[in-house]
Amino acid sequence: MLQLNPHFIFNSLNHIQYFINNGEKAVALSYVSRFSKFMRQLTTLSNTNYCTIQEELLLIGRYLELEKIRFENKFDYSITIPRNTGADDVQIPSLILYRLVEDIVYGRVLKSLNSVFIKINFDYRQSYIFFTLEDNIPLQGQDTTTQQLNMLNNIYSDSIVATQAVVLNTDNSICGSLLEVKFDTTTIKETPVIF
Amino acid sequence: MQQIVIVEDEPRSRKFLNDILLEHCEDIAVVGLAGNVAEAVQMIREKKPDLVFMDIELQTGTGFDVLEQIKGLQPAIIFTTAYDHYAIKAIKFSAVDYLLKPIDVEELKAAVAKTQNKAPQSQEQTLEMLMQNLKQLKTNDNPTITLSVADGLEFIPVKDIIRLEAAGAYTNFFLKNNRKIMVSKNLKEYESLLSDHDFMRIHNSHIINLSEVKRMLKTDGGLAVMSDDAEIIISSKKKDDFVHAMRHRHL
Repeated sequence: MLQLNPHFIFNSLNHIQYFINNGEKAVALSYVSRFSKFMRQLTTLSNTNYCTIQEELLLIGRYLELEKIRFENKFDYSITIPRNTGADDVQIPSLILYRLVEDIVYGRVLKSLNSVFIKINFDYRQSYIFFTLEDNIPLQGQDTTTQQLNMLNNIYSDSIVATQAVVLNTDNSICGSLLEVKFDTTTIKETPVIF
Repeated sequence: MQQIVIVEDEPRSRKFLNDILLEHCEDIAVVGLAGNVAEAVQMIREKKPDLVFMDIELQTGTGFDVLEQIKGLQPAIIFTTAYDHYAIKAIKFSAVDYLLKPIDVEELKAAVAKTQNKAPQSQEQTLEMLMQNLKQLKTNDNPTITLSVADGLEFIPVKDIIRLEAAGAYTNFFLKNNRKIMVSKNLKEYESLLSDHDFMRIHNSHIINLSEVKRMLKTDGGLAVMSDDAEIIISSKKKDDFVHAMRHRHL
């Protein structure tokens, strides 16, 4: 079940090695503890078919925190979780949002020549969960993220609608992209798990 | 003094490699650091180093893209990668050195020492060999076999073949999705062609794809159960070979 990204694991170890060699004991220790928390939660969620959106967002936050340390100054992010949405117990398939974010980091953020800001939001309205990710990277044709979105639409055709669009400035110039994954919580549980 | 350029996409990896080289290797000077393909090409052309540490995965491409653009300069290359990349196979084949990250200091020292005793002429040849192997690897990754059938040619990905069965002077190909193709050549023609691709002749009349074996049954002296549930008899001569081959495919 567990599909780990080996690049991420070994590069993280690589960084710990750097911090140690550089005499940055405190950073090394804090990196190890964050890395462990992330790995522990990833292992747990990998063994479940469903989790709550809060659990998924917590994992995404831990992941982005580690990558932000690793790729100094490359990107920053925010995750906004509104209070009292009533979505506390709503279940979604585990790790699909996490995989999407991981893919965006590797496929778009790291390839971007400018520094990137990622804004993650989530909302729950009328039995739909809306996950949105906005960034300042202009969309450039088909990439692996596009493929993942298509795959989600195919596999979960009756419960997920995944889309992406360009974001325009007031003068109509392109300034980024907006990705949305909309879950229909009334049907999500009936979809067979493929992963 | 051996002049070294480090090509690594992450700033900290660059600095780390720089630091441990200076700390542990003698008679070297790090003359340049580069973080992407364009920087690396420019740096290597400008500094003409003796040795380049080359990260395989760069954000704007790969270390091989750099090599393509510095032909004729003949630096020794030590590849670095965080993960057992597909290209490692080609690198091993060409006897070019590589280090897995996190880097082991002893391995680093050994790799550097090795490059210090090599003639530039042989570097050029090994790298050329490597590029050839890489190209081959890419095409071999998903090879197809050409079968001539009654109304033309069929191009079948080798991984789609479950098994082959002799039918007199003809051969039947059993493919995934329950397809069957009959070809007017005998089974022997295919034995050596497919043996490099994880196929085995387990009986006079049968060649099977070892990746498509689900189970082995002990009945009738040994049966291989294929992914399409076909039960193929294993001849007593081939039984040990078969068991040995299957053992070595799995953990």
